[in-house]
Amino acid sequence: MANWQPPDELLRLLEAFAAEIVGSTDREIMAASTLSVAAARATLVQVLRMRELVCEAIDEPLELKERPLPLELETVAELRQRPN
Amino acid sequence: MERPTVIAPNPVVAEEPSRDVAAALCALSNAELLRLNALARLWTRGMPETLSWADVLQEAIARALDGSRTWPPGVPILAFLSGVMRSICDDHWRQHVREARVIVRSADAGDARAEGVSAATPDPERVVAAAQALSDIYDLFVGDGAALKVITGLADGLTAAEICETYGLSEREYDTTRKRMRRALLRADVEWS
Repeated sequence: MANWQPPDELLRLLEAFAAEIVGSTDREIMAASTLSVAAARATLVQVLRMRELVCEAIDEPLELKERPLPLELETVAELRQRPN
Repeated sequence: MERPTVIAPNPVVAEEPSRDVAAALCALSNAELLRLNALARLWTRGMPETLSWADVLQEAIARALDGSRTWPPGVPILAFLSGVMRSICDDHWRQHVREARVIVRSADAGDARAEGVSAATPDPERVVAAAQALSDIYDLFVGDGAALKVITGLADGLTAAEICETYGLSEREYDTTRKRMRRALLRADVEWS
């Protein structure tokens, strides 16, 4: 088995994309998350899952888990889809 | 016009040597959690199915908490965790290679020819996974000629100025293309998740 690594081309792109994600604004990430009602719902689930995952990893009890979810997301998505 | 830098708009950064990773994680906003999720998914793209993005993220947090990876002062927590996740994925590939070597040797220790062939041949699963990941990236920007130029330049390791010079893009075109690419990338992450 050769000591193969993913091509530099791929690694450079992943690095560049990681930088884009880290450098994105709240507005950009929220806009991407509310393209549709389905996307907004998926985002809510994702945030909850992330909170649980972080809580598990740092062994943090209820306080963090009980933080409010961005429930307005779904509303934003619905508003976006309404015709003028 | 610069190459992308790993700096969040309002980044949570380490300030003291005794910085508390757990506290920083607790303080992450919903948007930051979504970014962290996107980063975990990005780095695990092309990984074997046995290693999920959640596994990679949890391992990254564990390494940060137990001090095996230290959070450098001034580095945003998301950029730090992104680097740790990349490192975990690299480790995983290396481990995969070592395990494959052991399997080949154990399965047919007497067959030197088989081992010779394997030593010169990359693991096909990895090659396919990498090719698929690259293909997914290019597919994401199909129909956007300027974005494909920027992607090609980034893949070749060119700087922003070099990309503009090579492909005849103005600074403004480059900047608007990068913004468009960022939106597509974030949108794609939502759709893939």
